[in-house]
Amino acid sequence: MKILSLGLFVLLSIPLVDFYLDGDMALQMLVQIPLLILAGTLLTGRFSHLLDPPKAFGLFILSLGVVFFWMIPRSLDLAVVGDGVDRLMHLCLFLAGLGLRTSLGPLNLMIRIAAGIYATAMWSAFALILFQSPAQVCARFTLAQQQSAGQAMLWAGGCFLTVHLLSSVVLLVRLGPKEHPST
Amino acid sequence: MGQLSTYAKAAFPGLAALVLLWGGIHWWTLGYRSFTSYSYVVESAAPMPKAPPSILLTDQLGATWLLPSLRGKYYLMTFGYLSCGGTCPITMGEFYQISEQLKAQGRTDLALLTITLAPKWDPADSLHRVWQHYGAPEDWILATPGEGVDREAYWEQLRHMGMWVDQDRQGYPVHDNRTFLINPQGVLLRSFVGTPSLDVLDQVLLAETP
Repeated sequence: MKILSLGLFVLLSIPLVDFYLDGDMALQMLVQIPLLILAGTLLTGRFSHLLDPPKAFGLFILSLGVVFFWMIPRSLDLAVVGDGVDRLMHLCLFLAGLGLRTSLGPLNLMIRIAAGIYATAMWSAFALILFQSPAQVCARFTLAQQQSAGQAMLWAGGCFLTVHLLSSVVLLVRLGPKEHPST
Repeated sequence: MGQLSTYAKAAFPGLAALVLLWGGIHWWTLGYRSFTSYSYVVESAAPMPKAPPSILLTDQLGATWLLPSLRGKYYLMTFGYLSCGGTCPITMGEFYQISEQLKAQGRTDLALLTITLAPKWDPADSLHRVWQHYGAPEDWILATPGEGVDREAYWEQLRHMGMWVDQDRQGYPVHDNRTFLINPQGVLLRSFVGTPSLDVLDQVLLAETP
């Protein structure tokens, strides 16, 4: 998994791939950013046992905050135009993925379900802004790109929420609300 | 007391992360007021009224003057470039409509000013041709800072004024469609998102009248 994680991170950092994914807002929002986070989550290690639930919750908030920061239109604009900022974004999102993976482990099932719902709400709110705004939100992309990215993100958010809720119900029925999914 | 301390210890990492996050985003967005590149430039610029940037301009007729020396009437100022495929042609069309309305009403208190963002590509003679294409309206000035100007330094002056401009990955200017109103004393009075209609401008001018 470590090789897969690092391989994915290196693949997304290849200038040609990066340039291609940076060129379209939908590709950046739906492929580049989720894959960078996924690459971080795939970096398995023995980190989770180092954290008790309160510290894990703090790390979870920070990791989600890093993702939120890179969804601020001004941050996205800077990442598209500046190579240094772009590399920083790649690294931050990779580490955010690692942080999410590490922090979600020690948290109980109810917090994990709530976290998934919150993350989807945040994602969908941004998607709505992109889709509905009559003006350009990100200066580096056209209005048409922005609206199609917003629409695709809304669909992706809806799909993720459906899967998340269904799997949460199954886990709740099987394990009960206070149980840890790994038990 | 012991239980309270346990709760406080349990809550501390989460609260600390929230405070850190709140502070970081607060700093980055200038107090949650500027999430976009456009609003960041507007929020970080000095508030209006203020003097316009000191840019030496050459107009379509070849005359050279400093932007702050524009006096005697109101000027609605915008920026763009001739090969722009974005909002520039729309803004040019809107300026042409206002120019026609001003001519029909016989107005001399308001004039229009379009300044190029691509001085190397839009010399004064190209601006003259475009001006003639629009019927050579007397109340519309098209100007350029000149081919020798340092483009980045020129754009930085515009950013300080409150306008977002940068270049895309191919080197073309990308910019917002903000317009600026200069009063007869040569002071930048306010800015608008897009081109205001003549009715809106009249309301602003009426409010300005002592």
